[in-house]
Amino acid sequence: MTVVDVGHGSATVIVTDDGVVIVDTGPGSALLEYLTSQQLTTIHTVILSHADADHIRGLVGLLGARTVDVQEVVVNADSMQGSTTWRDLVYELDALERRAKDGGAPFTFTVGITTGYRHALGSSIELLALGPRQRLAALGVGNRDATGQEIRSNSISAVIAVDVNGSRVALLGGDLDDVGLAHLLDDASARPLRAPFLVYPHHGGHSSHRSNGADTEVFARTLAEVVEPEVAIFSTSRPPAGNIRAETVRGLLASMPRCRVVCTQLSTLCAAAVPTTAPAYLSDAYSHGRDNHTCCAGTVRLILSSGTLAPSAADHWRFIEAAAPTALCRVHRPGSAA
Amino acid sequence: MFSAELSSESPFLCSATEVGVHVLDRTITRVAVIDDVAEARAAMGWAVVDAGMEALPAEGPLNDIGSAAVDRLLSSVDAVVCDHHLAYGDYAAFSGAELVAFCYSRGLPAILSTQWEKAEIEMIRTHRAHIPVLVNPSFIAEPDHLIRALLSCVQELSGAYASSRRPWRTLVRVVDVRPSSGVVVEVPAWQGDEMIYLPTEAVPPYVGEAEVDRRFHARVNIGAARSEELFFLDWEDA
Repeated sequence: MTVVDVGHGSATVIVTDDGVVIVDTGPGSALLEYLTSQQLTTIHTVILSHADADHIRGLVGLLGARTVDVQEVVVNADSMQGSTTWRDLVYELDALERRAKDGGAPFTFTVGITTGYRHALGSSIELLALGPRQRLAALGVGNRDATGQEIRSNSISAVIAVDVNGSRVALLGGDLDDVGLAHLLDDASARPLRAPFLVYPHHGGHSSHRSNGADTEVFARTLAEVVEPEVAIFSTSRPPAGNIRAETVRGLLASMPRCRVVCTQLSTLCAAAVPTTAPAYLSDAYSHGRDNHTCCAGTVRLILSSGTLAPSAADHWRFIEAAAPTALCRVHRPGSAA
Repeated sequence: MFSAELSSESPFLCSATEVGVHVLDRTITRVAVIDDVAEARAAMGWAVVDAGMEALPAEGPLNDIGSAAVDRLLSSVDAVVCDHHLAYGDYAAFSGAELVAFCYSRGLPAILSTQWEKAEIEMIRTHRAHIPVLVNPSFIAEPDHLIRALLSCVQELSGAYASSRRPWRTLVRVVDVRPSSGVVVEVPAWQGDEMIYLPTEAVPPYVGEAEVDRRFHARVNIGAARSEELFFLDWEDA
């Protein structure tokens, strides 16, 4: 399972002998570049957690490029999103489906992801949607839930669990917000939420549209308490596109002091200036921040069967100590003297 | 002996004999400096020398791009640094963008050095697919930057595109039509939100005459960071 450094956005690629599944596709050409660098030309399924442009632009690019054969797309529909990017994506999906019906390469697209959605990759790996719960999806964006909270696009962002041989290994948080988290916690069918690896929601940004730091810290604490991640991976970038919040890291480490924080790119809050060279541990896999030296961990690779993560903690920590001594993951770790 | 390691990722150590720089599989010894302002030619010439190469400031007039004078000049150098505006004093009958694109077609590394990128964006965009490097003159006054720029040119000429330059077939949607002038388009796969104006002469007739919301496919470098870098090739009439 690879969390690709796509800049500000999210794209997770799961490769097995039984096929390739992608969850979210990031922006621009980064995912295309990654797939090319890994010589991946057939994608069994693309799952879109929600309709934000930084999660779907890459799919518009993927489908248009025709360098990769995509067989199935499952979208968490959000017609309230109203973005032209969404309409363009639907245009490309529709065109592919029509071509398939006219005898072209097989292709299907399915609208709707709620708790209970399952996708098996061979006999050992299963992706499950833990959210959004059906009640939330049925109400939809723009309505209010039973507690009066407004349901937004991020509230119904799909949360995908990755299970290996029946054990939960990773949780992909999409852009889950505080309303979505509250429903996730309330929904017994979403259990268990514990997973050693967490792809943190919303790139470590604010947890609600109110952009409130205190709320963001509470969200991080709560999420960490229920997921108990050993590693939290942030698909993030430097401004102006994005920046991880200090409150996020503080809340996460307050609940899980030993949790390893892994960011794909180097936040300006961690290092005001980019290093003069890229980290030595960057693999041959594409990392969007490589050329501009904005990578922190860069593209992150997890071996699902063993739990081995690259870059290693030791290599990554050495880079942070040298290039970003005031990094959020150092400063906010309880007991840290930094 | 001048040596410079371009980047930690680059396996290529640039080195020089007395004059010249090895860039990938090429040795760049002589660099033509093309600018219609003599002082600017001289300044860029010094930058080339500081970078360990021989500068050949091109005295005008250069006339047409296909002229014997231009051919002699380009045949006698290993790379080119060129300003965009070349019309002062009838220095040349072509623009720097046109010349750099011409060099590209000949496999000759050429850098377009100009402060006019935004002001001349439409004209430059017409040739942008064949301009691997476009920089501000002050940027390549630094020897290391000049060598990096030449490396980028040589890499692209050898087929190794930077992600910001690689064109991908992608969806393009017309968002506005300016009759007899051009169209404004959006590239949904591109990471930016800006709309791009394309003059009529820069697009096929079926694009120039399209209605709003019409969609096409073209090859676009959707990895570009800035809208000024975007170029459009191989339009398809769906």
